[in-house]
Amino acid sequence: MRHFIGFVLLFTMLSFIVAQDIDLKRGRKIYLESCSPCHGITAKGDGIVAANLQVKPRDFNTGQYKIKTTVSGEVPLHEDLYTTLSKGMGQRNTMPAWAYMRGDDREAVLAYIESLYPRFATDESPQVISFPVTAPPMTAETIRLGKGWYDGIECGKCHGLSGHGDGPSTAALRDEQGHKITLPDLSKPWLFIGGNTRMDLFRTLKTGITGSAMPSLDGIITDEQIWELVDFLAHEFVQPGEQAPR
Amino acid sequence: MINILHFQPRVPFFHVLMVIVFLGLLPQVAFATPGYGRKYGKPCQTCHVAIPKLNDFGERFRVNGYQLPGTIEETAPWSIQAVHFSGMLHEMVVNRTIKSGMDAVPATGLPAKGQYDVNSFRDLGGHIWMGGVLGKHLSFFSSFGIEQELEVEGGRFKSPTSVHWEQAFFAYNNVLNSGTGLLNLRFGRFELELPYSSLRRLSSAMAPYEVYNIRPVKGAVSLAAPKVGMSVYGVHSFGLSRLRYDFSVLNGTNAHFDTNLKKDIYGRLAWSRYFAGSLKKVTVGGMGYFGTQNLRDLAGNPFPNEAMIEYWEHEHEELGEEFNVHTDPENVNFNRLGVDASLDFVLFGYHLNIFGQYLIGHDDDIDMTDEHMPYFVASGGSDDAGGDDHVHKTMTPASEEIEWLTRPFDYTGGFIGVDLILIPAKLYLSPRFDWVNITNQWADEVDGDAVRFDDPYDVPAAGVVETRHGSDIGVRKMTGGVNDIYKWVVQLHYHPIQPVALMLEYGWQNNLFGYPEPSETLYNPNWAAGMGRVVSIDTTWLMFMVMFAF
Repeated sequence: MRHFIGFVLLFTMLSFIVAQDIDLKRGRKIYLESCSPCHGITAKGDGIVAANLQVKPRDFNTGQYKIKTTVSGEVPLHEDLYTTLSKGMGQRNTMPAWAYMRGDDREAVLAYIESLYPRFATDESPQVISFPVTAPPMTAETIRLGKGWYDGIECGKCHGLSGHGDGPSTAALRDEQGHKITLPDLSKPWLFIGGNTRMDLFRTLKTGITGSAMPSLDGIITDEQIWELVDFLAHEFVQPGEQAPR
Repeated sequence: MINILHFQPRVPFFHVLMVIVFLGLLPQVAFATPGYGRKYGKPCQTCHVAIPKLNDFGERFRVNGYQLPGTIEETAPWSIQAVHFSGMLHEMVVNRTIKSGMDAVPATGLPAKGQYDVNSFRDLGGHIWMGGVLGKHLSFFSSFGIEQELEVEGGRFKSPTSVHWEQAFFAYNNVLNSGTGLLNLRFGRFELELPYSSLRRLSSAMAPYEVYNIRPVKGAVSLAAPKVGMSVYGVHSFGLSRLRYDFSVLNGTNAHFDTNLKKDIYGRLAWSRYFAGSLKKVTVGGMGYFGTQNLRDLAGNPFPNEAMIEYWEHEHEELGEEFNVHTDPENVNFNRLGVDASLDFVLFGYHLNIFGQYLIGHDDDIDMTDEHMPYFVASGGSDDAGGDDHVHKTMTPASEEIEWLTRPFDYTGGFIGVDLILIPAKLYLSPRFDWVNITNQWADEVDGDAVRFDDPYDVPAAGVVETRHGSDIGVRKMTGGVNDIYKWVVQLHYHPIQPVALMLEYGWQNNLFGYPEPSETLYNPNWAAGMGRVVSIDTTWLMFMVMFAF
């Protein structure tokens, strides 16, 4: 009986390893077809198309991802990557929404991408930033206070006083790979790489954009103050007028 | 002589010159589809190096039926919310100098020795494209051009606005559910899967790929022009390698009809290998086009009908006049064989694409009458009562045995170019060199034989050769006997903002492929649309073009 149980356990483990290997092979095949033109065949962000892109593709070997819900220094959640893969990034960025890719294909390609950075395997429980389930109500007062934070923490140094991405520091901005950063005009919310709902804005402000010049505001201002800043941005740029408090 | 001049309208010299000079200005305008950008919310450089050239991702998108590579969209056709329209407006201004170096008195339609300067706005117009996914596996594409084009009618120089339907096809994609374009079927009017698309090259309509546009007989097939037919095409990946294939069955006419019983065949295979590091991609490929045409296929259906032949025969018998006429409807075969290579790499941070094409073309008989071109019969000559010292093609009485001669046409040529990205998504430099060598052409010798006498108004005979038919015929070159075409073109391509492209282009061309019309005693252009040859006309141009895609 003990031999039988041992055999079953061994068979189960081997099946798991083989299945995982098949999944990685399938993921690599999908990656080479769909992702490698931009991200490169070794996933260093140096694909055949990359040299002509204004926003350079990710190097998947570094574990640096712009959109995530984990604290700075932690690898993103699998769900974060799945969301980015499915929704794409802003309209200046060439990362499309792969919503038409089959779900199991998306899982397979993410499994392959995660295999390129060992910490995805070792950091099983990265520290996640807590997000509210629903956004707090926007009021005239939160908008006014948010304007104060926009000025107070010097968002305008990069984004410009009027949000057009023409601040005094803009020209010198570089990402972690040394590429020039083209800031989004805040009045064009379709360019926001992390989405433009109030919840998206909160996440972007709270986590920052890894590898870019956009810092995390976590610890700089409180969550309540971040929401005030979100309300100002939403009211001023995303849907001016429509989200004005009644 | 029988009066056949009403079949051959005389066109003022300058207007004909303009036609010849602008032969290269076919309506081949940049081709990009902002509708796809709108659908997927992505900028142009997602799929384009620069408008209109596709990058590697764009090629994968296209071969996968206008879907992201690796995906199959399952939208039901009846649930499509909108058909994606795209458009482009364009206009160019050209400053062009034409130098005719022909020593001989030119045949009708060619400029005499001298220099001619032209400065003109042109190609004012637009294109409208529709395309996309109609449902699972089903995609389509259609393009209309609305342009003012050069036209000569009744000796008048005109530029009417015309609408032409350039492409219209359906594709049944991913027959094997690959999501990668492994096997696709296409029906309609489409551009061949040539190694380098004429519609998506980084040079203006003034600088087409010369070797794709050589058409021995005016109106005959051009590789570059869209064809009517069907094709099976696709791509298969082997790890880091990809194999592209295409097999097409076509009308060989660039048109919606094909009057012969045979279909043209086109095939292409290309292998690509991707690399990590500075070298990005290497592609090598080969192609073959095997076609059949007869005179009925040509524009205007120049092959004479029975009534015309009967009339001419009557005139011939009654009046004893001579004329030349093609009376044999037999097919003539032709082929084009090519090899190509392309290299993508990054050097000092700049991406370069070096590409080249070599092609061999052969037509069994450019008169397109199989082996039934009448051999020259002395209409006068020293042995004849008329004393006419020139010979020309003539209809021989049925009682006499006719000697027929094949008039093959052969050429080799190609191009090599570089597309260099100077500033990503902004500025590009594209130099290219084209060459064509035509080894035998109208009025040249074939295998040591002079098969066709030149224009009787031409320069005196340069020599006498023994033909394989035992007759001595003077060999004279109609236009100086040039055989080579060379062309350099350099374009600077700038996108100040996404939908706008500004192009500055300088081109230099030595000799031109044209359609000089011999005199009616040799050849009637109303019956066969004219045979091409290299003529000694050099040209340079400086062009500025603006395009706006929406």
